Amino acid sequence: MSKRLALLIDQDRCIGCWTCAVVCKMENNVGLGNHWNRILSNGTGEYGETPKIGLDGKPELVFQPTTCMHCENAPCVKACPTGATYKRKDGITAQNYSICIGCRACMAACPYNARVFNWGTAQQVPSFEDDHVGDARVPSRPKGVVEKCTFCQEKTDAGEKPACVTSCPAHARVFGDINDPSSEISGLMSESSHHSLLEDLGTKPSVFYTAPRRKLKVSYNQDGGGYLGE
Amino acid sequence: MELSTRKALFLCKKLHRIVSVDVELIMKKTLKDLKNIWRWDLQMEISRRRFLGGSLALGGAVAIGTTGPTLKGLGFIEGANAAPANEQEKITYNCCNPECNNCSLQVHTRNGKLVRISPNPNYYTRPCLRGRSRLQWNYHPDRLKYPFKRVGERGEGKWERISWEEALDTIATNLAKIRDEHGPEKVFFTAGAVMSVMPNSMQRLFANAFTKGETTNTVGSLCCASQAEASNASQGYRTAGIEEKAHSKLIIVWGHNPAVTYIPHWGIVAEAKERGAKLITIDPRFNETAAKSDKWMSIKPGTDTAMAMAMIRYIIEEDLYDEKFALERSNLPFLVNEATGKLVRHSEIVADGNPDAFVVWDKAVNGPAHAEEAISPVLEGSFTANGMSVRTVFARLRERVSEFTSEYASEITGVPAKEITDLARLYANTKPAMLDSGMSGAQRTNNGVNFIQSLLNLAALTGNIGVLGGGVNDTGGFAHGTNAGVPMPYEAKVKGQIPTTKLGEYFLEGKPYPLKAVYWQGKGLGQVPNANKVLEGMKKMDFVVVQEHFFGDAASVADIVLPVATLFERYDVMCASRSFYYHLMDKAVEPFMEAKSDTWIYAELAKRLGFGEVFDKTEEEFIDGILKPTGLTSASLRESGPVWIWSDPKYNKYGVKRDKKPFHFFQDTPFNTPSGRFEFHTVRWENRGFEPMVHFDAPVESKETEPELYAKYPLSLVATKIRTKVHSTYAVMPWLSEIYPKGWVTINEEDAKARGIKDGQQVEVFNDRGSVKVSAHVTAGIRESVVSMPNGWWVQQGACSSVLSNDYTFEQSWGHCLNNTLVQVKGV
Repeated sequence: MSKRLALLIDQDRCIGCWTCAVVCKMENNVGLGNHWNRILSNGTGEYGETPKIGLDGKPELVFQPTTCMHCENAPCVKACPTGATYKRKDGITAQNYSICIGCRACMAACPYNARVFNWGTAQQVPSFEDDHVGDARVPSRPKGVVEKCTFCQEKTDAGEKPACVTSCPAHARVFGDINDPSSEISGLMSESSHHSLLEDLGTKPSVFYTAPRRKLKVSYNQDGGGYLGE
Repeated sequence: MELSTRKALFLCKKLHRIVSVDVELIMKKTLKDLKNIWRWDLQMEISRRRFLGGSLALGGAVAIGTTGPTLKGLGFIEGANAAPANEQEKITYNCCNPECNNCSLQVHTRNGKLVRISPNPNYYTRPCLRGRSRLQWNYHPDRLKYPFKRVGERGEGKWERISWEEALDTIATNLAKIRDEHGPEKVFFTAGAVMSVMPNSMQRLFANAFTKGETTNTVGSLCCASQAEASNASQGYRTAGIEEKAHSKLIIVWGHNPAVTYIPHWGIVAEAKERGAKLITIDPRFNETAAKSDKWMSIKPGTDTAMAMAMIRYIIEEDLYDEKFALERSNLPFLVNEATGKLVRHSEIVADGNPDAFVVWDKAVNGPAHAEEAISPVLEGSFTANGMSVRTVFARLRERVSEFTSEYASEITGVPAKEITDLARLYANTKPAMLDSGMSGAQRTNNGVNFIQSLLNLAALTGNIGVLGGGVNDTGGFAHGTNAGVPMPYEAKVKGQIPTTKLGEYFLEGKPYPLKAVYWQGKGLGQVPNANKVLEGMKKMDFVVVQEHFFGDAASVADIVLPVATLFERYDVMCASRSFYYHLMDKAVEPFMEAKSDTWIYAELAKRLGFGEVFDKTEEEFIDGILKPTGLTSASLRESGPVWIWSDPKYNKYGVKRDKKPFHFFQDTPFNTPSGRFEFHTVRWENRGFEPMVHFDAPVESKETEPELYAKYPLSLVATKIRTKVHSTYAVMPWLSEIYPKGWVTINEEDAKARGIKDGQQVEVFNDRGSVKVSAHVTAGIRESVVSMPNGWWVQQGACSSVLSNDYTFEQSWGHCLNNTLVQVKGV
């Protein structure tokens, strides 16, 4: 059976620190103003992080790192007129920058807004004449092409894990082959309930989330001997 | 040139909202604004286009047409056809050194350029987004490349590039002149919160040699003076339980925000939670840690001690305390002379008794006895001993806290009484339970010392000290537990001292005497409370040198600005500062443009001032000297990687050798107090003339203590930390500024409504000390009558909360009291 690479994100562990997002930019030399991976949260306000009142009447804030979902049933692949975006056998939705014409139909098609476009030549700090920051294996992208998370294909092809996975300080991200029942990610997914985003659209994402631990609303132990959530 | 402009809309059905991320003008605005503010007038204008085009030599080692394998980074290629990363890269190890977690960094260079920072695979933390942004720091377009001299008025922003020769000659001449005419102590040396040894030690070494020990020192600190004072008094030193959290069953985070300030250690907290640990956060604001907690308890700023004392009272009244610990390891059974309020000494009850030993009441002889020799000490009681009316510390503590019923504490703190009681019961019944203070914002108040004392008391009372996963977590690391350091040639003869929070006032008012020169290294001026006053004070000086990486706040008022090397460009050593490890911080690349290491700068100045021999060592030789008591060397550390301080008796002050797990403070190490025990009635404060036991003082600058001021400024301002900075460090890194481009004030929904303020609206936050304009974040996730501002923006960046902060301090610790600040907010 072929591989199906997938990512599992534990939203209980995730503290929304943006380390994965910044490391992705570094390792993949993503230009200023673009993010392949960004942290959304369910708060309000200009940064989306001002706590709002949750369903239990108390403030809450949940963080959701969001990236390309590497959908099995990818709308972007269907929309691309040149075939520049395509599915690899291992499940990665990949990008061929040399035949991308920058029409951005894929961006319109993607319901996750996972893709970014190089309106100009990508600017980076630091920028070197004959090199770029990050993994040397990652190609630079020219002006006029769309780019997005690649599950760090240069790393995964060499048997390494994506940068976001190895950089998460909370160890909230797990990556691997979900067609392999003995993989770590398969084991974790069988132990917990998880969901993907916009499941009812039928995109069949390869990124899964375990939701934050539910807080008990009612204490089962009313005799005052202890204190059990609320 | 145009940056990509984007407005991205993210529809996420699961989260039931659309999030709009406006990423467009962020970078353009931030960097351009910084340039405008600094208005430097350079002989060589460096435009971003040219810099980013790479036509300037970078790092001194870039060659056009490099030798070595062609890097396939520039073409667009399919597939992974390039050579694997490690063939092209040289790896060195370093340690991120601001006042944070001090993670080990794996540094990758290609052809003399820093290109990646990744986790050290042999270390237990993964560096966070800030440490990664050091790549941008090293090659930042606004990084200082040359020495500069001020032309025009101080603060005007006009600069002329000068040579190092001229800079060093000017500095040496001016410092010598001031020393000879006015005295060595009139030159004030100060440095920032750098946790590695070299930069600040080199300044101290230079200052010591230059002044022959007659310096003006600072007392207190911006971070943790109160925490330190209370810890030192109660248990003998500060402790750090960050790594232990995984073993805690209950973690009470009090005025602290580890989800932001201890990001690399969050995996440990997550592990604790997965093992069933409860996490409770006490804070005026629903902070990022509260978002991960089982419960958030909202409390009025400056009142935390009252709640802790109510918990102490409950634990005593309900007999939930650990009697064994109390009798054997604390000074609760010690007798206090009721007339004097002082601990009874052994010499007072026995003729040739030991004046440094203490006394308990021994049931076995029905009389007073030497505390360490008594057979059956009594915990509670009143007695007469040698004509003195005496009572045990425990009895006096019971009386001290008796007023603090949960109801009374609730009136003071705003926390519901039942919640206080519930928390006390939970804490007392859970072991191990940790009080996570982490240099709490609650100890940055006038009652900060006693707040930390109250936490320590709670831990000791419940026997949570000396237990893995218990205790009071202060901060990572144990630098004070090592014998590493740079020996000084002259004995210290401090002529005068300035409280760290009072720089502005003392500079302006010529206290303790009028200073003439300031040598300012790396410190964020915008972090000092009442920051505008500090800027004014600096302008009064005859001569100001700033040694820095950017034209920061302090540099803006300098006479000479020196570009200094980053930690990748020199050698340094980390000695267990925020972790329990020694790290060699290895040089990876040559300094950028004309930047020089602090060591080199001080060595050159020393030569000109006639004591060059003090600096007659390479950096690596200095490091070998620093490590000498441990037997480690820079070479051995390079070979071995970070070394755990408990792995060999020579590596730590207590001669402890321990296998990796578990290490316990106060099992493997002693209480370092005069009594050798945990002290509820501290000898240290008794000797210094301060109240020895826990007590609550109402917050200064509050409704209770300054009602007239409160009438004008009815909102309490608390400062918060932010993911993208450590204090003011990293404030200009593009990857970080993209996330939070500008500052804000968080304000309660009711307070906002009362002022007609809507979310996202520009508002002015002001008081008599200053004013800032920021956008408002309106939420129910902060107490009414409290506003919070993230701390760390530089004064020039416009969202600097310190211009509003109270610079009050007090003799017991000279602690920072910025969380005793009142402000008003209005829409603009």
